[in-house]
Amino acid sequence: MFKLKPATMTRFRVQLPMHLMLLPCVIPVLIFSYYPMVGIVIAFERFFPNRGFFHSPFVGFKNFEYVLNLPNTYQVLWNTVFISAMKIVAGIVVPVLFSILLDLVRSSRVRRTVQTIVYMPYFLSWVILSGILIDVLSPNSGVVNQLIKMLGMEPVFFLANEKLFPFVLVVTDTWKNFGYGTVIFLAAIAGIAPSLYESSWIDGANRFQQAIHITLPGMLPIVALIATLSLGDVLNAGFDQVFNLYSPVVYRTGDILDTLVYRVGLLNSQYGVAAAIGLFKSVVSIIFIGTAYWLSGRFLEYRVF
Amino acid sequence: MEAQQGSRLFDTLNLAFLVFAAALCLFPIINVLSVSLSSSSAAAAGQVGIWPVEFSLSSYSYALTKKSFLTAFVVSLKRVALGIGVNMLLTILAAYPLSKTKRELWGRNLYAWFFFFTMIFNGGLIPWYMVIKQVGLIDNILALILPTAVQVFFVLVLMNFFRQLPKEISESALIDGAGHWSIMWKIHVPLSLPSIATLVLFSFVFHWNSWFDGLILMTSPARYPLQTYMQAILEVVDPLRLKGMTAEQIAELMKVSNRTLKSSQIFIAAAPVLAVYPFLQKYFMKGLLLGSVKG
Amino acid sequence: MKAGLLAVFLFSVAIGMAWAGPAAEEGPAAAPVAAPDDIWARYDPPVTVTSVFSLSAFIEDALNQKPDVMEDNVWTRGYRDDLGIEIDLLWTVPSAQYDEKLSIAIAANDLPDVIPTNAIQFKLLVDSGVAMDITNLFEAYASPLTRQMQELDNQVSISQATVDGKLYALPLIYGNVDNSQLLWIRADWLEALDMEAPTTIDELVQLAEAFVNDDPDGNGEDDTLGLGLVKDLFSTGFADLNGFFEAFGAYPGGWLEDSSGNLMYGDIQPEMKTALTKVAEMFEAGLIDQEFVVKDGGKVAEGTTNGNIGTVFGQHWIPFWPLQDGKNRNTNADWRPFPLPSATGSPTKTMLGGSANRYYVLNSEMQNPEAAVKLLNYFIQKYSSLYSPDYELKYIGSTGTGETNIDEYWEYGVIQSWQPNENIVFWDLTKKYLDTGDEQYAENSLIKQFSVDIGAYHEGEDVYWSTYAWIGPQGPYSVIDGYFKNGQTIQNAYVKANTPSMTERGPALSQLRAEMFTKIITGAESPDTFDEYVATWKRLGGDDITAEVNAVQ
Repeated sequence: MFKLKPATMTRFRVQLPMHLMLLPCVIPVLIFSYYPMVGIVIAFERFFPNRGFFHSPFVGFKNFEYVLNLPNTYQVLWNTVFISAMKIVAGIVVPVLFSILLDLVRSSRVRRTVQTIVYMPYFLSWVILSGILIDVLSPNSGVVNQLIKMLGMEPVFFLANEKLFPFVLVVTDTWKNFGYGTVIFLAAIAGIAPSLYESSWIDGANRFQQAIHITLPGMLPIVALIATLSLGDVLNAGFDQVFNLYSPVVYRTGDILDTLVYRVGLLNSQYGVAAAIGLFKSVVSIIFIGTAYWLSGRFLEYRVF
Repeated sequence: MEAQQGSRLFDTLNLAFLVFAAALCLFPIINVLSVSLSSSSAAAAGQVGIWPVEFSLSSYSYALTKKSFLTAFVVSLKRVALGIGVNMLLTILAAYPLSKTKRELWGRNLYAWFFFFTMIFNGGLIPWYMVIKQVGLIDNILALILPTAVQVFFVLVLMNFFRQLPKEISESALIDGAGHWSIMWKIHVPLSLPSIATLVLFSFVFHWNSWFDGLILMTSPARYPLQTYMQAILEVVDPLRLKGMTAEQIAELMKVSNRTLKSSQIFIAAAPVLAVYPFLQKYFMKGLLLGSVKG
Repeated sequence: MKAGLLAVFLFSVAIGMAWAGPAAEEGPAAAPVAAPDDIWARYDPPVTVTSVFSLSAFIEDALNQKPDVMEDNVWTRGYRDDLGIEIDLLWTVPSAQYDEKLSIAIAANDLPDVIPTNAIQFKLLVDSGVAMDITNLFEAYASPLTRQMQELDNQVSISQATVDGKLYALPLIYGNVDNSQLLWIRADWLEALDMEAPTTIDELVQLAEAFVNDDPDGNGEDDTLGLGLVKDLFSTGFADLNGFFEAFGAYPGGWLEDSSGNLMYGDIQPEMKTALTKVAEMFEAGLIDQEFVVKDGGKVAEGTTNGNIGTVFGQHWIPFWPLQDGKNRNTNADWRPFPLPSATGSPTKTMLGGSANRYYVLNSEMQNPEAAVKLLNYFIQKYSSLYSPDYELKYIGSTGTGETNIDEYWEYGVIQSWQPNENIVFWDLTKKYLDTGDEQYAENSLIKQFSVDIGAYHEGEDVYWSTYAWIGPQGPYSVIDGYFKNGQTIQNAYVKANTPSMTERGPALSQLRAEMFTKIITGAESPDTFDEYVATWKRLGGDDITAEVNAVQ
C-alpha cells in the first residue's frame, strides 16, 4: 500500500491552515470572476442576447477585423501607447519623488497638511475638472497664458494644439492623481525599520544619504509591484479624461482606443466589437506584465508577486 | 557648518516646492467649493473663481433636506462598513499564505496567478450581471460586497509588505509551536499597520465612490448607495437629451442640474472620506504613530 | 477606481450585442388578428403587464412624499378599474440613467412585456427577434383617437417604428414641429444699436460685426461676441449651426430628395461648402469665439448668461435653459426668437426630422399583447385635452406642480403619446386667452397656468420669464406657426432606423465630418478641402449608406 512519507505528512499538516485561509478567497473569485469569463466568447460572435452565449452565430475574428479596418486605427493605437507610456512613467516617478521630498520635511504638521491637500484632486471628476481646465488654459483669459504673456511669449491654445495635447493630458492626469499615489509609497516609507536610520545616523550619514541609501531601497519592492501592474495600463490612456477634454481639432493626436471603441461600440450598440477590443487589451496587458514578471525573476531574481 | 547651511537651504526650497504643489492642488478644490457656495446664476455665468459670488447655502440645504439623499447615505454607510470588513479580512487571509515561498506553501505561484489573472481578464458586464442574478443577490446589499470581496490589488500589496517583515520572527514563533493563524494575527498584522491603514483607505474610497454596480444591481433608487443616487444628478446637462423633451420635463431637469448643486454634492459626498482621512493618515505617515514598527 | 464614464466603459467592454444588420433568422409571420367587438372591453379577471420605468426629477420628488406612488397613482388606478390591467414594474431608474440600464437588460435578455426603448435599442430588438410584429394587432385595436394622432403626426413616428413594412413598436409621438430652428437675439442689444433683426445672412454678419465692435451692452469693454457656437457644430439645439446652414439650403445630417426622387445626403451637398465658407469668414473676422472648439453647451451658456453673447441659433426650449439664467443675471436681457434669415434669396425652410421619442416594443413572449395597445388608447383618451371628450384634468395634473395630489399627473402613464402639435395649439390658445380673457380658450388648465405665469412675469417676477419667452405671444411658436403657414418646412426624407452601413460606417463618417468641418471653420484647412471630404465620405461607406437608404425608400 502507498504510504505518505512522514516528512510529507508534516509538511501537509503545517501547510493545511494556509490552504484553508485561501479557500474563502478562492470561492468568490471563482464565482464572480472566473464563471463570468464564459462571456469572452462574445468577442468571436455576432451576439444575440435572446439566443445566449452559446447559440449566437460564430464569426471568428470579424469583430477584430472591423476595428483594424477602420480609418485611423493605427494612429489611434499609437496615440494610446504614447500617452499611456508617459502617464505610466509620470504616475510612478512623481509620487515616489514627492513622497521622498515629503518625508524629508521636518515638521510633521506640514507633512500632514501638504499630503492631505495634494490627495484631494483625486476626488474631482474629469467632468468638473475639464470645465476648470478650459478656463485655466484659455489662450485669452487663462492664468497659465497670462503668465506666458508676462514672460513675453505668445499665448498657447493648449487644448486645441495637436502637438501639445498629449502632454497636456499627461500633466493634468499626473496633477490630479499623484497625491493619491503618494499614499501607498508613504506607507512603504513608514514600514521601513527605524533602526536602519538610527544606525546609519551613527555612521555619519546625512538625511540625503539616508534618503538614497535607506528610504529609496526600502520602497523598492512596492515600487516594483506598482510599476509592473501599471504596465497593464499600456492600452488604457484614460477614457474619462480624454473624453472630456478632446475635440475634433486634436483627434489626430488625442483620440485613443477607448474613445474610439466608445464611438463605434457603445454609441451604436456594436458591443461585439467592444468585447473584441476588451479581449485584445487584456491580452496585451498580460503580455506586458508577464514579460516584466519573467524578466525580473530571470535577471534580478526577484518575484514581483 | 556648510553642510548644515546646504541642508537649511534645501529645507527652504523643498518647503517652497511642496507648498507650491499643494497650492496647485488646492485651486480646483477651492473653485468647486466657491461655486457650491455661490448663487446659481453667478455659477452658470462662469463668474466664480476663488471666492463665492453672491454667497448662498441653498444648494446645500436643497440636497441635505431631501429624504432620498439620507436614505442613500445610509445605504452607503452600510456598504462601506461591510465592504471594508470583508475586503480587509480576505486580503489578510490571502496575503499571508501568498507571502510564503514556493517551498513553504505548495502551489503558491499557482494561487498568485489564479488571483492575478482576474485583474487582467474579465468576462464583461453581462455575464457578471447574470451570475449575480443567478446567485439571487439582485436588490441585496451583498451584491455590492461579495463580487468585489477579494481585491487582488490589495492582496498583492499586503503580500509585498508581509514579505518584507523579518523572517526570523515568524520562524522562531513556528518553532515555539505557534500556528500560522496566530502568527498572522499576532505578528504580521500588527507589524504592517501602515500598509493595512492604506488599504482600509483604498477600500473605503472604492466602496464609497462605486456607483455603477448600484445602478445595475438595484431595481429602485430607494436602494441606491449615495454615489449612484448622485450620479443621476451629476449628469451633465446634455443638450442631446433635452431635444426630445417637453418644456415641462426640461424645466424639471433644470431645477436639479444646476452647477452649484452639483458642486455642493461633491463636498457632501466627499465629506466622509475627508473625515476619516486624518485617522488613517497617522498610520501610514512615518513618525505620526507612537511606538510604531520595531524591526 | 475612477468614477464616471470609465466605469461604464470598463464594465461594458465585453457586453455582447448584435452586429449591425438584419437578423439571421426571420421571426414567424404575425398571425392575423380578428377585430375585437369592443376595444375597450375590461379584462376579467385582470391581467398583469410588466414594464420598466424611467423616473423624472418630478417623480423622484414625489417618491419622497409617497414611496408607493409608482404602484398607486391616477393611472394605475385607472388601468385597473377601467381596463382590468395591473402594472408590474420590474425596475425603476432615474431618467438620466435609463438608457444605460435598459441596454444592460437587453444584453442580458432580462426584459419585461412592454419595453420603452430609444431608436438604437429598438433596432437591436427588431434584429434579434425580441420585438413582436404588431402590424395587425395595432390595426385591430387602435382607437379612433389614436389613429387621429397618427394622422396629425403625418404618420412620421409610425414610419419610424416600421421595419421592412412591419410595425414593431408603439411610438411615443412628441411631434417634429419642435425640431424647428430659430434665430435668437438679444432684442435689448438690437435696440441699443438701433438695428433690426436680420433677414439675410449678410445682415446677420453685419449684426454680428456690430455686436462685436459697437459695445451693445454699453459697458465700455470689448467683451462681446457675434454668434455663440458649440464645439459639436450640429445637433444640440442650442448655439449650433443647423439654422445657419439651413439658410443656405444646407441640411446637416438630413436626407433630401433630388429631382428624380432619389435620396441624397445633406452633408455632402455643395450648399454645405458655401455655408462652411461663410462660417470660416466669420471666425476669421473674430465674430465667433476663437476658442469655440473646446466649448460644449455648458461653456457657451456661460456666455449667454454673463452677457457676452447676444445671438445664437437654437430650438424652442432654450428659454428654460440656458437663457433663463441670463435673465436672472441681468433683468434687461431680452432674448427673442426670429425666423431664420436666408442666404439664397428665397425663404429658408427648416428641417423637420423624426417625431418618435420613445418606442414601446412589445416582447414577443408577451401574453396579452393587445393590452399594450389598450394602454396607449387609454392614455391618449385621458390626456389629449384638445381632442378627447374623455380627457380629465386629474390625469394631466390639475396644478401642474405636484404640490397637491402628487399621484395625479401625466408622467405616471406607462405608455404615453402626446399630441404632435400641442405646443402650437397651446401658444395659440394662450394668446387668445390673454387677448380676450374668454374662458372658452382656457378649458385646458395648462392655458390658465401659462397665463398666470406670464402675468407674474409682467408684474416683474423674472423667474417666470422662461414661460413667457417659451409660450408667450411673441415666443418661438409665433415664428414656428409662421413656418407652417408659409410652407417654410421640409421633411427629412429618411427618419427610419439605421441601415447596416450606418451602424458600421457611421461613427467613422461622423468623426470625419467633425474633423473636416472644424478645421475648415478655424482656417486650419481651406474650404476647398470640402471636395476632398466628399470623395472620402463616399469611399468610406457613404455610397453604401446612400444605396441602402434608397433601397429602403
